[in-house]
Amino acid sequence: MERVLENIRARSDLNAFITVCDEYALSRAELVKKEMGAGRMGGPLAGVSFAVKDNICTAGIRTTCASRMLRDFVPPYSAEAVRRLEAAGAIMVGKTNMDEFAMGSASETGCFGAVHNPHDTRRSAGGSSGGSAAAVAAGLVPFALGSDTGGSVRQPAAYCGIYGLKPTYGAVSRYGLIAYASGFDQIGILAASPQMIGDVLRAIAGRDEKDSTSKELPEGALSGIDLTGDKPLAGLRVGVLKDVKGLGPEISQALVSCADRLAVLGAELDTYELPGPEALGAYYIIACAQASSNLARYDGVKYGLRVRRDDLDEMYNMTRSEGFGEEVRRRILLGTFVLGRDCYESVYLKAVRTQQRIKRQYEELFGRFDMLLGPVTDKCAPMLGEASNRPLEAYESDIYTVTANLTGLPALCVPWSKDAQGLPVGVMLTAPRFGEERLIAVAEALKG
Amino acid sequence: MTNIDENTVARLADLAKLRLGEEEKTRLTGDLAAMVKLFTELPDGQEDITENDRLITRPDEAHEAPEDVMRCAPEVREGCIAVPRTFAGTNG
Repeated sequence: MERVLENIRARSDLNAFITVCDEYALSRAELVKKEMGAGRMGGPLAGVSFAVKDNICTAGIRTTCASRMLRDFVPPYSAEAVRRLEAAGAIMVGKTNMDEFAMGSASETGCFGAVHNPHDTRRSAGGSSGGSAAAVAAGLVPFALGSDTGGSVRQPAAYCGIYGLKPTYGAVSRYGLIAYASGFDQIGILAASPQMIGDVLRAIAGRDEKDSTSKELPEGALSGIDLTGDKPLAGLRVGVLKDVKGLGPEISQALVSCADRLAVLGAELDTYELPGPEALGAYYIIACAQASSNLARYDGVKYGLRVRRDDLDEMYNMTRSEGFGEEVRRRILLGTFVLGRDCYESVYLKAVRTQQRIKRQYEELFGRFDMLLGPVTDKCAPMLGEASNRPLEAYESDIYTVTANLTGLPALCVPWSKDAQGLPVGVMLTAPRFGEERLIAVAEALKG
Repeated sequence: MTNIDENTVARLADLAKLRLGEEEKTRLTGDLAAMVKLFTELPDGQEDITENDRLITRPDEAHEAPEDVMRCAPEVREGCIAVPRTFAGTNG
């Protein structure tokens, strides 16, 4: 454990961690070692170190959401996902850096500075789970928890060259995940191998009474699938996204070569079109509406930053103005706008109807296919600062990832290749609800 | 639909309890106008928006033991909540 903590300190240039829990990790390591020695603890995660995105509550350990608003907030409880991992013997070593309140695509909007990509430290690690992605990609921890509301696990996984899973909505308890858009948020997993993704998923998934949106998983949903033989994917019907404009050549090539590999492994391929190009609009309207409501709780009264004023309204205004960064303010304003009387019917409810339409389109797609292959992003990791200077362009690049959040479907980023500059390129597999084990099995077959 | 101008942004900021500087108000007005243009042109539809998945709500009784809940409660000193010391090696 000392070595793990030393390695983390040695890579402070990545700015991947907001809090490193030295004493906590060392004492937990001692405890786990004793329990393992006494035969009371075992399993694939016993003694494995991990990191947690800093919007996931950890009892007694600062949880900031990379925001001035929660800079010194210490939760009195841990998220259920963290609790289950610790019960399995995994050892948390620190809280990772991110975009403020998970709003962003480059881990640059947080108040603790940007996260640097381990493959080229001049570049972004992606967002909003950039710190978790960078920590895994740099070999500091074997896995990390992130959160995915519009692609925030999958996109940094693609930029950093690792695996990133967004589970089915409801598969993992959101208890203790600080809310951005409650209808889309899911705790996700970043790891260097599909096997580790599977081990972590089996530890954290499943119904939690404390989260009303968490689901009983169907029988067999967490049973590993073994695919063997010359054609391990025989019978698997895979849809490959077609006619995609605006992709960088390295991304297009990755899709072609991954499709070729799937065919060699026995999969039956056909093409599909991205349903609902209006998905991006529907996503941002609903997400910002939910965000404006969720972030109304930060008023300086119960927890977090309080800017003292004699007048209550002044206190609310000054606390929220000083506590939130510009990206958060931008999204709160959009959310407030679409929920206004003039727009509620004509914009917000229309977005909800669009979401329903997209869900049905994907149900029809999964009548024809067992799995879908598509890009995660339109290009490789950008230079630091690019996303912050052009926020609307950054929103548009979410087009490939938001549909999994709108529909609640599981999706896995698979690291596939590198571009001419050595930057990682990822592809994305999407499955029907509770199809995570099949995603992991196919990723394992592709790796082989 | 309402056009986005600085007065609209000022009204929205007031509703959201956000205080914006003049420069920021100008910048956010431009951003918000562009976002509204980008995101709000959605096709009409008659889809049923009733959610089919029934939520399984939890019972109202708390099951945590008081000592578990209080273990990480913040300390109160002289009537004020003291900010707990976090572990060594924190950023900022």
